[in-house]
Amino acid sequence: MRAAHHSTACSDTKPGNHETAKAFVQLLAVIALCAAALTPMAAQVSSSRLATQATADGNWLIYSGAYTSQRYSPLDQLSPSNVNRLKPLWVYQPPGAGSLEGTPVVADGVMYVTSAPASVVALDLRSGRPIWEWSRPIAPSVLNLGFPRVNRGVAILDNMVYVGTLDGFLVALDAKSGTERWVVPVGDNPTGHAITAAPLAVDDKVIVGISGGEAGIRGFLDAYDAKTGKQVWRLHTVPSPGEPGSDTWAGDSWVHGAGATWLTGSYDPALKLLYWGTGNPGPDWNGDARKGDNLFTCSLLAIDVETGKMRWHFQFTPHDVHDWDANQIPVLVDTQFGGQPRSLVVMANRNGFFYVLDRKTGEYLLGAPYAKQTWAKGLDEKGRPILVPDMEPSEKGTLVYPSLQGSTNWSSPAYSPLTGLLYVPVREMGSIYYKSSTEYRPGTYFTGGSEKRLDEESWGAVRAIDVKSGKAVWDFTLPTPPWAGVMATAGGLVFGGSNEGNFYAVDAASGKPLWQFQTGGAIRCAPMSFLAEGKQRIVVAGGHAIFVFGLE
Amino acid sequence: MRRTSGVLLSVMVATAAAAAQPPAAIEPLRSAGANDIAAGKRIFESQCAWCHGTNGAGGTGPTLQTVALRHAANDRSLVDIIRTGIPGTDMPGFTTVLTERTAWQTAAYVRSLGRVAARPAPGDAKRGAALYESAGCGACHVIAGRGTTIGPELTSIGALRGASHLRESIVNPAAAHPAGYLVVRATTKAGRQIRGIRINEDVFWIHIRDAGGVVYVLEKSDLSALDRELEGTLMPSYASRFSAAELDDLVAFLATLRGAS
Repeated sequence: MRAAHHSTACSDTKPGNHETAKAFVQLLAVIALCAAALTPMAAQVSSSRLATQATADGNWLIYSGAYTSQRYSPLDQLSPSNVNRLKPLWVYQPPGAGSLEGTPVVADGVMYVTSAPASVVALDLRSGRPIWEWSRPIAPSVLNLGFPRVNRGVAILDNMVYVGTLDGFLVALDAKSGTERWVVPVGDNPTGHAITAAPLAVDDKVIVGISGGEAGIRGFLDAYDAKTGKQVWRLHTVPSPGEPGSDTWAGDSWVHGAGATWLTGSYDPALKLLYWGTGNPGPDWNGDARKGDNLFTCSLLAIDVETGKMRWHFQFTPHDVHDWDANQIPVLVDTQFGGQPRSLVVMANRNGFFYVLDRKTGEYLLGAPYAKQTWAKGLDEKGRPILVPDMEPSEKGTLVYPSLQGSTNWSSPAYSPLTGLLYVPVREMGSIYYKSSTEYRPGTYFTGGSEKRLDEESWGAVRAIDVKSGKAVWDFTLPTPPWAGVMATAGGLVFGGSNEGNFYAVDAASGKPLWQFQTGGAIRCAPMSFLAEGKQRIVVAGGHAIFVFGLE
Repeated sequence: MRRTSGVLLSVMVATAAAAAQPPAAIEPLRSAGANDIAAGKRIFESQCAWCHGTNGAGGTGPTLQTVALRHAANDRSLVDIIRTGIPGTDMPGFTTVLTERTAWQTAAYVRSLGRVAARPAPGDAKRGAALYESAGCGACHVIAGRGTTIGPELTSIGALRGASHLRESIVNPAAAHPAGYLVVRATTKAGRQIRGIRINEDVFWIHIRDAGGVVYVLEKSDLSALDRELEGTLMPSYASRFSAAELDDLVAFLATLRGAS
C-alpha cells in the first residue's frame, strides 16, 4: 500500500523551467523517499546498539545473537502451545552453495547470509528475494587444511558488513549495496591460513580470528579499524622466546605451534574484555617435539579490546595431543553462583568437561564431565586435568573418548536465563588415535597422526546442563553426533537440527520434542530468530537451502 | 559488487585450468631402497593393515598382493590414492597423517607386495558356485542381478574383500559385520518386536528391513524401545553346516566375483 502511494508521487514530480535546480533537489529528495519505502531501510547499526540492543526490536545483529553469545532470542510469540503450527514461509537457495554453516544476521528488515566458499547476500525479510549479492572468487588451489570450504557469517557495524574469506582476507562491504569498501590481508593462505568464522564488531574495531591449526601456523587474533581496515593490534596465541608462556614450548617448536582462533568469541562491554578460544598445538597428535604445556593453546583468553593485551588465560587441555581445540563459543552468564551474584563465562569444552570461570579474573569455579571421556580421572582444584596414563596417540592406535571431533565442536550452544540451563550439542563418540612422524612443510598438513572414528556406535544429543551445578538435566537424543547448533527462546523453546535433516523444537525445561520439519539435507548451522512485520520467524539452513519458518 | 554468475564462471575456468595441468612427476617406486620399503611397511602396519590385512593379504579391503591394482595403473596414481583415497569406496585419504615422502614410501611397500606370490586359493570355484546355489545364499544376497537384497550385494565382492575376510563372514558373521548393516530391534508400544537392518534413521523415524525382506517405516514416538545390536547380524553362521573343504570352495567362488565386466 505505502509503496503504491509513493510511486504515484514519484511519477507526478515534474520540475519547471525557472526553478530547475531547486526542483531537481526536490526530485532527489522524493526519489530518496521512494527508495526508502520501496526497499527496506539499510542498516545503521551503531556500536552502542550492538552492545545493548543486539536482539532488540526483532533484530539479530551478531553471529551468536548478542555479545554474551547466549544465542537466546527474547521473542516469545512461539511457545510450547503453538510451535506445532510452525511451517516454512520461504526458502532461499544460494547459487552454487556448498555446505551452509552460517548464522544470518538480521538488521532493520534485511538479512545478511553467507554461503560457501565466500559469498554474501542481503535478503529482503518479507519476499525472501536478494537485494544484493557479493562473491569473492576462490580458486580450487586455495587451501583449507583441516576444515571444509565454508563461511560461517558476517559482522555488521554502522553501514558496513564484514566478512572473512577462505583465502585469508577481511572484506568490508557497504550494507546498502554490497560494494567492497576495503579488503585487507589477514593471513597468508599458501601457508594454510584461512578464515571461516564470522568476525565480531566492537566499538570502532572488527575482530577476526584465523584457521590453520592443522597447517602449523602460529595463531593470532587481529583487530582492524572498522572504517579503514588498518590493523589496530595483533595478539599471538603462541608466545615467542622471552614472552610469558614461552617456557612451555621446547626448543623452537613454538614457531609452528598453531593455537588457531577459528570461531567467533564473545565480549563484555562493561569490562572491555574479549573472550576468545584457541585451538590445538601443532603438530596435533604428536607432542614429542613440543614438551611442555604449550601455552596459550587449547585455552580461553580474556583480551583487552583496546590494546589487544591478554588480561588472563585458562588452559583447558595442557599439552593437548588429541586435537581438542578450545574454540567453542564462550557463553557469558550473570547469575547467582555460590551464594553471590557473579559474572561468569561458561564453556562446554571439546575435551568432554564443562567449565565455569569468573570472567573478571579467570578464576576456576566449577568443572565436570558432561559426556563420555576416558582420558582424565577428573580436574584438580585449579581445573587442570588429572590424566589417565597411556591415553596418547600411538603407532598401533589408542582408543580414547571423545573422538578428535570432541564431545562438542563449533556447533553453537545456547543459554536461557529463564531456565539457567546451557544447551549443548553433544557428540558421543570415541576414536582410535594414531601417531606418526611429521615434518613442517609450508602449506601441507602438520598433524603427526590420524584417527579412526567409531562411527557405528556413536550417537548425539542436545544436553541441558545446569550452569550452577554442572549436572545434566535432560537429553534430547539424536541418532548421530550433530553438527548443528541450538538456539533458546523466551517462549520456552530450544531449536536444533540433525545430520539427517530434522529441524526441531523441544521444550526448554524438559527437552520434550514439540515440532519437527524434515529439511531434506544435513543441518550444519545454528538457528536464529527475528521479527518480520511484527511476527516471529525462525531461520535455519538445511542442505543447500535457507528456510524461514513462521506461524503464518 | 560482483554478480555471482561471473564468479561461478571464473571458478569453472580455474577448475579447467587446474585439470589441464599435467600431474607432477614422482620418483619411480621401483627405485625405492630397502630403508624406504621398511619405512613404508611400518606405516602400512599402523594405517593400512586394519583393512588390507597383514602383508596386504586382504581383509575388509582387497588384497594388495597383486601386480595389477584396479585403481592404480601407475606409480603416480598409487601415491595419489594413498594420499586422497578413492571416492565412492571405503578407501579414505591419508593426507593428514602422511607427507609426500611417507606416502611414496608406503606406495613403494605396496608395490613390493605385488612381487609376493599370492597364496593360491585352496578351493574349487566351480564347486563353490554350486554350493552357493544349493545352500540358498541367493535368498539374502544378489549376484549380477539375481537374488534378494537383504545382505550386501556380492557382484564385486571378490574385488572388494580379501579371502580371509570372506571366510570370516561365513563362519563368524557377527565379527565380520559390514558397515551400513546395523541390526536394530524396535519394540512398539503395542508390544510388537521388529528386528532387522537399519536402512534409514533420522531423529523421529526409522526404517527397518527384516530378515524376510519386509521394510517397516516406524515413527519413534510409537516405540517403547529401540536398541542397536552393535555385534548383531542377520547372517547365520555356516561354521557347522559346511565342511572345511566346502568353505574353501565357497570362498574360492566368491573371490572370483569381480564385477559385471
